[in-house]
Amino acid sequence: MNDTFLWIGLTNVVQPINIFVIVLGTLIGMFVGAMPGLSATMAIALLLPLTFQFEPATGLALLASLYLSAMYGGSIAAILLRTPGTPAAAATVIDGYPMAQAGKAGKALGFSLSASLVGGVLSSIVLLTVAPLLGQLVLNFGPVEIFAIAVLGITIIGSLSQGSALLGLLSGAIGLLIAMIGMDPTTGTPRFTFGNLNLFGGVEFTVALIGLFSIPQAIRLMTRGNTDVSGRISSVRDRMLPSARDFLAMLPNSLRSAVIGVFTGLIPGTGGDTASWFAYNEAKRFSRNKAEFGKGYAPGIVAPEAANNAVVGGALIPTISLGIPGSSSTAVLMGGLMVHGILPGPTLMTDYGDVTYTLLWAVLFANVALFAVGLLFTRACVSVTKIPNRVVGPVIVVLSIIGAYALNNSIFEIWLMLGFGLFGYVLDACRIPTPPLVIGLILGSVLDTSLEQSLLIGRGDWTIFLQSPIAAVLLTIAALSVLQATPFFGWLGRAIRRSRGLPEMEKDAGNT
Amino acid sequence: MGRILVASAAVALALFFRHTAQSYPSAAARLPNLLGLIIILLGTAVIVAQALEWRRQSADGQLQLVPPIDKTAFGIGVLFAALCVAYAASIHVLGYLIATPVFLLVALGALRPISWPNILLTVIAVTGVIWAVFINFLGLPMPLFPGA
Repeated sequence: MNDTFLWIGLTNVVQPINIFVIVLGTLIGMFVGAMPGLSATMAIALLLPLTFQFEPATGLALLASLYLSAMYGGSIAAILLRTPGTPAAAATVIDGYPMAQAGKAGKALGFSLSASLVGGVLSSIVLLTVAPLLGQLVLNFGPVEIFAIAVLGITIIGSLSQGSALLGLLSGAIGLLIAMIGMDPTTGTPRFTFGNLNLFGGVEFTVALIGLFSIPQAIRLMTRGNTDVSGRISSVRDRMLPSARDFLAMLPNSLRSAVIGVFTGLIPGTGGDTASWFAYNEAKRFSRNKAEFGKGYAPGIVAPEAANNAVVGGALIPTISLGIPGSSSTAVLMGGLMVHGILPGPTLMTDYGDVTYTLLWAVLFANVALFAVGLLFTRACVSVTKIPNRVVGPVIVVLSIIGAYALNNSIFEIWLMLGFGLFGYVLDACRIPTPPLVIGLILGSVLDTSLEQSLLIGRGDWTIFLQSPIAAVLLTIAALSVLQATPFFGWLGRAIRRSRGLPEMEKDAGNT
Repeated sequence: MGRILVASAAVALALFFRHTAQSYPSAAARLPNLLGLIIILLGTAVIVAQALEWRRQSADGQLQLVPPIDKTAFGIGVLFAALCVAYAASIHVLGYLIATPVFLLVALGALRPISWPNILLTVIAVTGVIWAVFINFLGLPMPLFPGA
């Protein structure tokens, strides 16, 4: 069955319309990524309403291409402006900008593009092989295991969020609670709708996404003003395409960094920024010329760029096979599935296998398209980086409002989107992470349905979750990930040290 | 301070949801009640953690309940948010082809990040492209003029 879907996906993806949207998506993603202050997540959220007009596979191919090409786009601003276009390109600044300053901007961008190709292709191959296998395994899971996976997903994403784990968990729980608004899937009772018909179908997930990722960004662009461009490299004059010798020399570093990217992407809650720093540090550790890092050294560009593009494939594995998005970008991609009525979960690989496999192939094709589009249009991106932030902010708001309206032709959803947008801005200002909230919004219905189904199977007995070994293990890991957010392990460690008569670490540290 | 306010609001919301859920069948109320309890616990923990952080800062002589605010940036943010709300309220009344250029003109004209000719070009281009894609191509039934 999988082989059939694999073939169907390949034949779908080579349709002219799909090739066209892949190229279009890579182009848009590259431009968006190149503009400091704009994120891939925001661009995907804004483009979601557009995908209504396409077949699901075509719409998803567009969004996936945009997602991965924004990773490369981020490096354009990092190399030319010393300002990463996306957080994932932060590590690229260290060596990319000095190389560009030395008059080798084209070479730096070429290394970034080639590394992105290697990282992206490797992660796509892993995605194409691992996701179906994991998907088959998950088919054996019942509601008990699905509930445990959803609990694990939200707790890990909450605990690994940037900043305090406690805040991440709170954000995730708020997302889950908001997802309770609407008809209860078991009894059909309208919950927390307060007689408002617009809420009977629940909070439109896509509306929340547009609001949470676009409005805070637009307000930030307006308040921050223009990016400091005093050291801008305003033109790319040298050759971009690396020589075969350079390409081969960077291959081991690219492959190692790509593997780091895939594994980092697999872990929910971590993303391109974590992977790129991790890969940069490893490249430095393995290098014989450690002192050259930070001075425009090619491996310092190759490592983060291969890793952040490889994250895409890794992050899509749990999203597609388990229905658990590992990051805000994959959550928005999942929103792309949901707007077409495709529910995330184990059935993605079977009931919607044609769409899912087209998406998997599209990721691979988009990496190749990115290389070609990058070679042709990177120089044009230089002019995009010159657009002032305060021009982009109002345009984002217009797109958000029209996009929110386009979802259901409803004014209510414009207000809902703005409400989420302002709420997202408050969360950002308080440094409370929003990705767990988004994941909570997605997983709320999965959690609700699987909980009720499990309790029906267990005749109301909660120990049903401990009777399945898989669920028990997953829930234990979830409990541990929550506990590590509390002082519990600190107290435990101190108690053990005291019982063994060892001095406390803090005291040691204080004495040295 | 912001975190305490958000955590307190979350706890209040959870309490309200739990209270509202009392009238639902047990199956419909189960998860909202559970989540409400979790939010109350987490929200309280966030408040306690922030209070402990303040105590530590106070001991170090670095206590800062409200961080310093860039008044200009704050003012721009508030006015821009208000402008967004006004745009959302007016789009269905004035129609897309009036509300959108006015919104863009006010936002760009007030801060003037680019010259006036470029502002006018941007307003026309953005209004035109979004009209072409969403309204003309995708057939979005958005009113274009007042009373349309």
